[in-house]
Amino acid sequence: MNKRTLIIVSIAILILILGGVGAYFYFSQKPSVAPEETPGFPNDGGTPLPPREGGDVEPPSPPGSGMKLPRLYELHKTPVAGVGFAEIGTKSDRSMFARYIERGVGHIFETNLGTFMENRISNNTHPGIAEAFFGNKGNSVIIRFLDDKDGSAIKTRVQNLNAPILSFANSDESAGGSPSLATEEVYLPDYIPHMAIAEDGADKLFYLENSASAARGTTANTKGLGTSIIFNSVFTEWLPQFPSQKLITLTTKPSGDVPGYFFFLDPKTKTLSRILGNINGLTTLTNHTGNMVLYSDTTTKEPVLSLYDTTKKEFRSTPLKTLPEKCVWGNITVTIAYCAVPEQIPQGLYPDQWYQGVISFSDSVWKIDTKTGVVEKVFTPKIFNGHEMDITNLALSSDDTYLVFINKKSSTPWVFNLVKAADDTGIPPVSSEGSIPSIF
Amino acid sequence: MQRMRFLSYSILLSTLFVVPFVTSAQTAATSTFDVDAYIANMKQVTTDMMVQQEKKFIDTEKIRTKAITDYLDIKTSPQNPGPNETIHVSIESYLSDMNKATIRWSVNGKVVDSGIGKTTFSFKNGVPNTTTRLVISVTTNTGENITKELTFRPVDIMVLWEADTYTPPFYKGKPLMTTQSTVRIIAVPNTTTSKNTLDGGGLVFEWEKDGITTKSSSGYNKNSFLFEGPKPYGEANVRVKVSSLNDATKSDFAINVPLSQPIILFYESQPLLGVLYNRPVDATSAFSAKEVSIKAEPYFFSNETLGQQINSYQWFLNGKSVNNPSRTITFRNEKEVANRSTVTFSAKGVRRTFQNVQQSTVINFTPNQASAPQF
Repeated sequence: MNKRTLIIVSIAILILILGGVGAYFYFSQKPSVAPEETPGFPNDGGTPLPPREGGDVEPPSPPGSGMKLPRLYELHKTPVAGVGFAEIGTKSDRSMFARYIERGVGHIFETNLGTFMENRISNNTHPGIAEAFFGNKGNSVIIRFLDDKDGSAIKTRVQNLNAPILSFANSDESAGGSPSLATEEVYLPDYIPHMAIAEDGADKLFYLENSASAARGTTANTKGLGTSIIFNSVFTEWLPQFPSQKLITLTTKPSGDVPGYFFFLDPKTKTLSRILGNINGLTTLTNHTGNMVLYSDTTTKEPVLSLYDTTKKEFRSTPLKTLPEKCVWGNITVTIAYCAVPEQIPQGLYPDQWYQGVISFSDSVWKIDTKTGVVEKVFTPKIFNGHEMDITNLALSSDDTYLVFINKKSSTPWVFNLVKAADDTGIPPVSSEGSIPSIF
Repeated sequence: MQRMRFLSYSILLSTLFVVPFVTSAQTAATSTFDVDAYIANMKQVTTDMMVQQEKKFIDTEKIRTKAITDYLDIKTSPQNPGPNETIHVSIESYLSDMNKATIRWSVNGKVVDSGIGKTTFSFKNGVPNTTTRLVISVTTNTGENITKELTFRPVDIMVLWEADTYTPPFYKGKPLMTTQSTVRIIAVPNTTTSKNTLDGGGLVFEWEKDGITTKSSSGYNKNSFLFEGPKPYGEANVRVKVSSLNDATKSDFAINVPLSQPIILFYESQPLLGVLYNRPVDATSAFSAKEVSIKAEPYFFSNETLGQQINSYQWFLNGKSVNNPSRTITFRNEKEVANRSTVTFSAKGVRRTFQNVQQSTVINFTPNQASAPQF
């Protein structure tokens, strides 16, 4: 080998090394793209996608570009059935992820909220998921769907997202994205009318089962084990909430002209205590400590939001008109709630007609500090990005910095960063919306 | 009364003075007359007579007082009031004029109201499982003192009801009572904590529908009641009387179950997404796909029973009936013609004939891909 050949070989090796390093960095920054992310839902017969009011909003910077991320961001372009959070890493090196499950095929995705890079973490296929709940610190998702082959039975499964799949053939991994997670599927009984998963991250869920004239409630973990019947009732129309592993709440199914009742159920002692009652159209949302309950009363034909302090047994009215289903309580500051409040509330029977989809809202998001009584507007999606949102399925990250929700109009998931950066000018200031904080 | 007493004393005195002379006239002829002894004797006789007469008066007074007490007509409204309910009480007597009587009303030992002719009184009943004592003290214009005591120990019941009517799966709203639908009412006594069950709490329930007591549904711990919803424009007039075995506690409740109308809403059904319940299909909905499936949801019709046809369904396309027994119908775009088609769905109760709704919507096919829908 002469000197010239040696130089050529050396240059070639250098180019190869540089190219390899460059390719590595290039691909490691590129989000893995699942086929489902392409615009237009893959449905047979060319059935159109549901209108996506928020679907055209593009972030000002591409995910992973290192540029400033928008505070309000559409996480996924196709309808999802549920949304939640997961945290990966230690406290000092923690990454926050929003997780959501596609309604059409049941694939689970996550978006790193520090980069907005999205990965598909499960490709288990389940078409037509009607509702889904994330729990167990984002590591489990309950999926609920109708099985037309089984006489339209309501089916419920728990998908536990376990360790990453270590496979050299995994294309996502080779592309530098998060690997898919192995999922374990647990079958829960058929025909569960309603259920809830512990909101404090505990590995607990609660489900109801109805017979002709009786209901029973069972707790279990996400493996379907440790089942315990903790509730029996001759009345069958209940909506459960599981604010913490120490408390389950049961609210009678609401209708605008019918008085509703609200109970605390202690999973340990199985004691049922009546908390609220005789309130028309009653729906509720209890905070994680169980001392504050947001509830709505539709006696005036509008959903008037009020607060009940279960410790002091005090009722307080708020200036807001919305449904508790459009609210979420803080995880760290348990006395703070965020609520999506309709800009206008048309005349109607609430919450019935909102549940039926007959009435749809255009919301703003408000913050309620129940300690100080201060109520203030946080943002209005319509002003921010021009899109109307009927916000539902709200969830807060464990550090109360991110708010995720589903826009009912499009069924797509969104995230909002509640912590405003010092140089952030991405959102019109609250004062420009004409909103003055009020005290209730 | 005073007049009667005066009359009695007059008779007594006259007897005292007249009788001795008559008697002395009879005895003077036969023996020596001891005037002093006679007077003493007569005094004693007179005193005895007066005492007896007084006793008679007292007895009469007692009898009269008792009669007034016994026949004092006390009316409470409601008869068996619930907790914290305002109770209206009125008194009336046919033996004494209550408008001239001094009446005092005391609640739990405290005089709350009093006055002449104060025959009506209202107060608030106590909280559940506490006793409220109402004492009515009457002094009649003729001096009788009457006391009556009423106690109220209310039962608080929570009335829940569930109609056996259809709502779509996962729907969080309440199935409502519609005409002729089956409804079950459950009355649950409100104790602060009831462990694990919502049972009858060891009470006796007497159920009444349209003024008629339903004996088969009434009795000890029978806290649920099944009935059929009213005919159109009617009312579900149901009452329940709840009492303890020893009648120490009792309350009477009228139960209001609002009558609603069944409705039909149309939703798009997609092969993968399923039924899109977030927005019903209406005249503003536009479809550009080759195939569109619509599901009709008959809210609040009576629920289907296995092996029994409860409701019959019929689809119409532009007024012409379509042979499709399902509640889902699929339209395909075979020809490229823009079209607005009127789709109608009719649901009718087979036995419950008043459950009968027909609902139409417009299916808009966009010009580019649309065609006359063909079933």
